[in-house]
Amino acid sequence: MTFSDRIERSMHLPVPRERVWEAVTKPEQLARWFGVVSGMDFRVGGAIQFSWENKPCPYPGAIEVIEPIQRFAFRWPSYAVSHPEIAFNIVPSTFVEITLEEQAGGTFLTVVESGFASLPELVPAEKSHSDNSDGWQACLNGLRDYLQSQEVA
Amino acid sequence: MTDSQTQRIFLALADPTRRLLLQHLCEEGSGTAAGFATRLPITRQAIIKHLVTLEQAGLVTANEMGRERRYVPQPEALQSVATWIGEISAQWDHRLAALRNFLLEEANASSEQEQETDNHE
Repeated sequence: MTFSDRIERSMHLPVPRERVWEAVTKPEQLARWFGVVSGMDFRVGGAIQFSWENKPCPYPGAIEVIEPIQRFAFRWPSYAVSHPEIAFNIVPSTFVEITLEEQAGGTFLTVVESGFASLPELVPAEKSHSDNSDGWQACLNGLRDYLQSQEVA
Repeated sequence: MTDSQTQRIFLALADPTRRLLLQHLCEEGSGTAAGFATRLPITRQAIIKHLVTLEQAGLVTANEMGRERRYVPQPEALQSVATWIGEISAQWDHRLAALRNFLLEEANASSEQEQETDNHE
């Protein structure tokens, strides 16, 4: 088991790799499942614009890797996108890497999001006051949940 | 929570010995470096170092008891990490399920269209 500030998920998709590549790199298709991409300058170093509930995020993301039909990676201000009410001095960003592999009958997609340790705040205030009265059981559950969240799905 | 605190929590949890110590503390309610040293195959000095790292991350607090420091776990700090990471994981599960549906719907739609074309021929 890895144990670091990353989340990894993977999935088999019964469609060709070229098709998945389009779905993960074209803004109008990203809008169908990723939901918050409103614009993209498709080149390494190019900006990605995000919006959340129709509010544009003032902090763009940036494309870091384009390896056609294999690997697409970008940094995104995930925390700023979901918390438009907060103004940031240093834009908090995490790194998302999507990898596509050919697999019998389709494509194997893996997504890794990493860099949470560098975010300025772990939890919005209203969520951090989780009930402490359950004591040690809550503590153990917390550790278990955290470890499970690190496992590859 | 400040930037450095977040980093400290992740760093503190990244080490298996510290996770073991934290688990023991959670199960037993509290503990001391001397107590752990009698049970674990590591030196008291190393245990103290790990406990201080956990303390700096806010995952445990230390109470002075005479000449000893007794460590007590702080579930809230740990839970906030778990809750938050869990939410982000859930968001990805949701997104990937949506991606799968999107691609499948489209694949089905195009195969139906092909069938119709075949029927017309």
